[in-house]
Amino acid sequence: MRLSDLLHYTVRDSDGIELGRVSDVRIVQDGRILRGVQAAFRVDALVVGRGGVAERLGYMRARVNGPWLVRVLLTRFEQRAHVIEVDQIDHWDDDAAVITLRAGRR
Amino acid sequence: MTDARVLHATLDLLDRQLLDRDGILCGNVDDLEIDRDETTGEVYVTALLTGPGILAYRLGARRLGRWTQRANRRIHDDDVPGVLEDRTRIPIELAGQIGPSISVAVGAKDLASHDAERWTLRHIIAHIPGNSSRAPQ
Repeated sequence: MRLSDLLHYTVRDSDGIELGRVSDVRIVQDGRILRGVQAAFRVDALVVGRGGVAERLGYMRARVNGPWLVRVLLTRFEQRAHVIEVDQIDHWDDDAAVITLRAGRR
Repeated sequence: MTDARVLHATLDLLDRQLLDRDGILCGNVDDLEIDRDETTGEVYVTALLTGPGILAYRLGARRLGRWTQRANRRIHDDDVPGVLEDRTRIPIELAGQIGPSISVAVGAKDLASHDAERWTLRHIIAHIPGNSSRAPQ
């Protein structure tokens, strides 16, 4: 799969409610060691919805608190975005380009 | 122990300039290859994709992208030694420093980015009378 394919996937919760489209992918370099050189690049989470810019700038989950005007604006964006950790994914439907989350996750 | 590096694919990797092992500009990151382990559910970025056709595919012109990739493979001169199985695919473990540009542990000649230029130089420009440049051997 290519990233450009993944950016067309729609994410739904376990009740079938649509959360949005994947807008970015958060990667953590903490996987297994590749060729004895460096750790693998693990996809840690999907950024879903149009508030992806808030996540990238560190404004999701109150990691960055200021300046206040930026915080207020981006917090509004944040309300439209979801960060979905990969272990919350229940099912990938590659034909329909839909990702379904586990029960209890929104 | 240092914290693991955190990146955002579209912000930190896509469209970044690639530098080969000698610091020569050798293309941009046009897309990423992602591999999903069906057993564990883990997902990894496995390669940087660059070269003719990759960007067209990403921008939605998928048929054009695949056609361009096939056409580029046809004009690639096989006598150019390469270390990559697929000249549009750089395994992620060969990526070094990631910043405003991304350094990769391959040579520019190992990548497909400049195949059309090389082909034109070797098969057209080099045969024009009065041409002072020499085709790469």
